Amino acid sequence: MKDMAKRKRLIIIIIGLVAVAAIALLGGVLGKKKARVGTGEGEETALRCSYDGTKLNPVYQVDAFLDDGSTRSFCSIYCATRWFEDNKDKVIYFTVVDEVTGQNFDSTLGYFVESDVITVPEVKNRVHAFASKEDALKHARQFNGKLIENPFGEAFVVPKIAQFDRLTVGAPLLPDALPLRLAIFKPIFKENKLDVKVVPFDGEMEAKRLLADGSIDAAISNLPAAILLSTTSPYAQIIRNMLRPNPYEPIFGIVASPKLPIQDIAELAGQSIAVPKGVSFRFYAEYYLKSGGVPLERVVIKEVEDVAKAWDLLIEGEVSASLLRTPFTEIAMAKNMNFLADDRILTWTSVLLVTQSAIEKKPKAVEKFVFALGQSALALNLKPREYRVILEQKGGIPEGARKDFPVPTFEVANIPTQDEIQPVVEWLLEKGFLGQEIIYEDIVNIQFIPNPNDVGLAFCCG
Amino acid sequence: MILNVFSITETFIGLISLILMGWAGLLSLTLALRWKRASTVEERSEVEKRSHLVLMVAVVVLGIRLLNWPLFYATLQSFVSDIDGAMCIFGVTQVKRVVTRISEIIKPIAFFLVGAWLLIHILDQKTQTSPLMGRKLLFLSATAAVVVAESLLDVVLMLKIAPGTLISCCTTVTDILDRPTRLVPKATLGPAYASILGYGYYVSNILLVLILGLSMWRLRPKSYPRWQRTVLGFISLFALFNGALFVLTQIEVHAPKIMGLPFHHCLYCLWQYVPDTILMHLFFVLGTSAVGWAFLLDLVGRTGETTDLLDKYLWMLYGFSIFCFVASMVMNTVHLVAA
Amino acid sequence: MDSIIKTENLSKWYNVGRTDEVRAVENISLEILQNQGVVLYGPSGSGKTTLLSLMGTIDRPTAGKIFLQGRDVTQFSDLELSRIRREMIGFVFQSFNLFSGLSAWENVSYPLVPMGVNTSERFERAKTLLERLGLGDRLHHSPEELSGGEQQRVAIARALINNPQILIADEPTSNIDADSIERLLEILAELKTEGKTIIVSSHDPIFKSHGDVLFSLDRGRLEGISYPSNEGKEKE
Repeated sequence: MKDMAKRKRLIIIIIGLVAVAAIALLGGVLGKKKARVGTGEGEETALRCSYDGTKLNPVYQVDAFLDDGSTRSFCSIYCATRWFEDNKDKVIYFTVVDEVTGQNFDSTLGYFVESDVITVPEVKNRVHAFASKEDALKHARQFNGKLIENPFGEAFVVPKIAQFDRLTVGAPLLPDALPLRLAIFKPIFKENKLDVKVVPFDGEMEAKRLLADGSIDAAISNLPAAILLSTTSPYAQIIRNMLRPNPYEPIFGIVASPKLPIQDIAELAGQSIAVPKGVSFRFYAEYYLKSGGVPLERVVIKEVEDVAKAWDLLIEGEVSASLLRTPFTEIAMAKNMNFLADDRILTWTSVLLVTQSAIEKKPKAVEKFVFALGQSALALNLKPREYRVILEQKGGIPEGARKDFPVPTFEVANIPTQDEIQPVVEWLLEKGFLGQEIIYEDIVNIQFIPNPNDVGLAFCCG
Repeated sequence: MILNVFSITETFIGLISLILMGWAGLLSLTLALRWKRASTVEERSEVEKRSHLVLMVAVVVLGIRLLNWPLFYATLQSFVSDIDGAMCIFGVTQVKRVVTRISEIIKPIAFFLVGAWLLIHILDQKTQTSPLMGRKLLFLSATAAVVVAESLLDVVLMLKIAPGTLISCCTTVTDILDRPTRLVPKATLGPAYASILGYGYYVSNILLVLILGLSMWRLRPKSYPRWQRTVLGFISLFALFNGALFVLTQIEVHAPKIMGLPFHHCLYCLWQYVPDTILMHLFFVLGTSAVGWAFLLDLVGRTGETTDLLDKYLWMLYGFSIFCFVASMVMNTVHLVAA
Repeated sequence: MDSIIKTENLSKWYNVGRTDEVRAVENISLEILQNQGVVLYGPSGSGKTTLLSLMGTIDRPTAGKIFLQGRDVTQFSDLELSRIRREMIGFVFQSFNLFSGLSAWENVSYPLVPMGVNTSERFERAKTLLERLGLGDRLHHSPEELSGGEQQRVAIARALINNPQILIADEPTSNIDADSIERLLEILAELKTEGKTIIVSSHDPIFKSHGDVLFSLDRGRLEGISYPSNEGKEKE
């Protein structure tokens, strides 16, 4: 009897212990789901701060992208900086959210203000992030704040395995460069472990100079200029399309002056046309005139400094027509001006040109660069409204036209075909810009183009 | 006052406890003095008759007070969404910091005293001559004083706590690098303090369980060697030390791991994110308390008549304590492995 | 036979040390054996009821000791004495002390309620006892609907519900008629044959010739002990 009682007691104890173990296991599983933080590859977005589990408010959220491909999310700059103190060697980049636009962006590009306003009351965070210095100063004035140094610092130390590749890219102040701009603003390049510097230039001559003196590894250029640059030292290759015209949005076009009643390109015979300096503009002007059946010698071509000048002359009626390029072609369309010829049904694009030296010495960097540009283009195409602020700030659009300027659509991953470049090559030969025939494979490098299906959205754009 | 089911219940229980235990405390003190002065059976019987009601009230109220400790924290948890800046109980405790802090200190003391008194009362009820009546009444008056203070604090807190105060929550206190729970172990144990604490937790708990088991085997009530009480006292002290070690280890090592937040050291957040850890901690508290209760029972309840009964009670308490410690360890280990 | 109740120098005084001090029981030592029929005989105020209360552990002595089945219960706590009373002793009070709001069977089964016995079992046990005492048709009557003798039988049934070893009856004949007295004596004799110890206090002379032991009390003191049943046998 006593033994039975003992055995019964033992059984009850064992069942009790098994029950508590089961409770703990269940509790652990459920608790993990509740306090889920950060992501590994392919997991869902974080719900709580990785530092202290506070619920995330998207406006104040800080994200860290780590060198192992995982991410961490934080409720505030306060928590992120605390966490960072012990994890400096893991971080590729932080994104913070611009409190005015709600856009997340690379923290190294931000302006930070410490003010009286508390963003996250649980940790009494008073540090605010802004993408624009103007917005930062405005907040500081309004809420008794002051600009502070970037709380994360300007650079992140990462382990050897995650050393960044470097590229310097020349970019004109045009909508064509928008994927590049976005990939800097949102740290898409950094996510691909790439450190990209952008060097602005204005005009084909400056691009040529920068390529020649090795200041840049790559440049965005119009196709005719790009073909020319690829055949002169330092040699370069076209590796990617940038911006292509489409049936709704031309890139190059001859537009008639609103002050003159010119309706057809044929009426340009005996008239003047303003053409900006540069091989590309020359090519398009002559192509359009030739296609319109207007003999070149019958037209007075007035070479001007840049597209803006051509526009001014057009509006003032000092010329009968002007060759314009985007963004001015969009402006002309918005004003319902008369397009005598344009490339809406043509296939020539602006392209990305990379020096031979960069291709040989940094192929990995070039590959990542092209891939990142594809990710950026995809983000722009999927959420154009979200990123138009970058277009407005860095797209070279005249101030009056910024608000209504449409965000262009970009190709994710494509290169100009032989058929597309052939007419341009022929013209360059005809004009003596090229001394001899060129082989397509010599000027176009297809090895860096990824499969468009493989290009997904970057984490920072997700 | 923040009105919800918890706060209303807490206030009601607090008020009732305050009034009834105030009365019971005073009356039991009077009766204890009378018992001490009573020289005849009649006088003692008179005290006994008068003590029936107060003891019955005490059993009911104190029984409810035992549950009040977890109810208190459940109430604070219910306030989290009403307090700006609070993300866990810690934030709520910052609203009326002093009152809450004193409350949090008093509650475990009250819990321990109430449990001890109930055990003494049960022991006394099992005897023929009620030899512990005087001590029981005196102990009740002391316990009542603590419970009255606890109840008063509960009522004050419930009435005073209100939304509208902006406070900061646990991160700004529990996660700072110079927090005491980090500095002290680091200074004493070195930079590897976390792993030492982690191992120390297991060593200490297992050792305590073994000591308790050995004591169960060796308890000799009939002969009652002189060393037995000393041993019981030592075990109680060790249990206290183990308790301190447990709290430290939970804060510094286990809670961050279980929560999946390696830099967050808030036990309140642990309860929030992994609610079954409340049970784990409850087991530990009960285990530790049971050791203390056993010692106190031996100290207060040992008479010629209670010797035989006491042996059984001590044995049961130690057995219960062992189960609680083991259950707590099992739960903790499962969490750490699954984390 | 074994001793079931024993007193040693038992005294009960009221208002001790005051001018109106009353010595209800003074220095009484007696012994009652198991299965005895005992009568505490004496006039009103002789201390019978007080002595009965002391022996039945309802009251506490001022001095002296009480032993129940060899155990000194003088120092026992109220709780322990309650347990003993519940298990060992059944009381029939002079004024019966029935609850008017309850029926006969409910009054009889009332002592079973704090023991957690369920209703149907209580009813069955009460019914058995009441039928045995000739009140099978009065189960659901309230005390007001019963005669004095019937009420007394209900009180007796209640005292017997826990099958106690000792039955104590205080002045059982004072509130009933002659027929009921006869009936009562039969019942008590019956219970004694079942092994119970019967203790009766009375000033009724009818008890002088009943019982195994008669303790005569006067002014709180034990004046004499006689053995009515033996005398009866001697006479025979």
